[in-house]
Amino acid sequence: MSFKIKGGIGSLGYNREGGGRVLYIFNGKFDFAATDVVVSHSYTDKHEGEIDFAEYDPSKISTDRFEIEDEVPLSSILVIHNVSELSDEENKRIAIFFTKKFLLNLLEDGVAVIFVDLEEQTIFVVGEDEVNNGDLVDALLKHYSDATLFAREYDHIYDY
Amino acid sequence: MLTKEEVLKRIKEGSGDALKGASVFLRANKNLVLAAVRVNGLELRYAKANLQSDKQVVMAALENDGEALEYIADVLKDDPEVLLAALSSMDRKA
Repeated sequence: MSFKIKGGIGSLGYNREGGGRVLYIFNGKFDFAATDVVVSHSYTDKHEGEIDFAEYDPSKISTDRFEIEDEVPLSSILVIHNVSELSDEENKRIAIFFTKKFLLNLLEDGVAVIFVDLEEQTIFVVGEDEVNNGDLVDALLKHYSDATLFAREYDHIYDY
Repeated sequence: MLTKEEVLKRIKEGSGDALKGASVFLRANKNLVLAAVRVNGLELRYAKANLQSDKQVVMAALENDGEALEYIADVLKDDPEVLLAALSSMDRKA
């Protein structure tokens, strides 16, 4: 079974042109097959059929709030505690707040955020609507302890 | 780079971004940062990291705007007093 792209991906751009900064979020362990589907889709010339991309290794995505290098657990970047003095409802509100702000900070910084659902075998690009409607945040929090981030910086194949 | 007098003037005028463009030295000045976050809690984002973990500064920021929770240091993210202050402040604004 291979990953299916939901809603299209479009061009992710190239690092030297101000784009190409991509953060994959897996609701479990990193799976190379998902990134392979994304780069094949986004960096293949539709007319020529040629693939034009190189990836920096290591890759590092930095915003004013976060620094993410290659593959790391979500919980090492997005710090959320279950505080015993708070009710379940209060803990949930705090967790949702931090998760939304984390995602919005990445988007505001021009990072392409791609969610990989390992259970559904689907991939989609995260936008503000997905962050605000709540489903994505719920899914992330459900897998908070085992979700994985994978940062990539893509560039033209001859630029690396 | 803004001088201390310029930052103070901006705080008094109620500027939402009084600390933006201030030097690291000024953004590490606790009294100045306290004055700024009491006018606009979101100014906590410009405070030097050690003040983002200073509970007095953080509580002052949250009192003004619960959304300042975004900018607190990780070490305070399990402090019930801080978290409840943020929720309470958000509820007041809602």
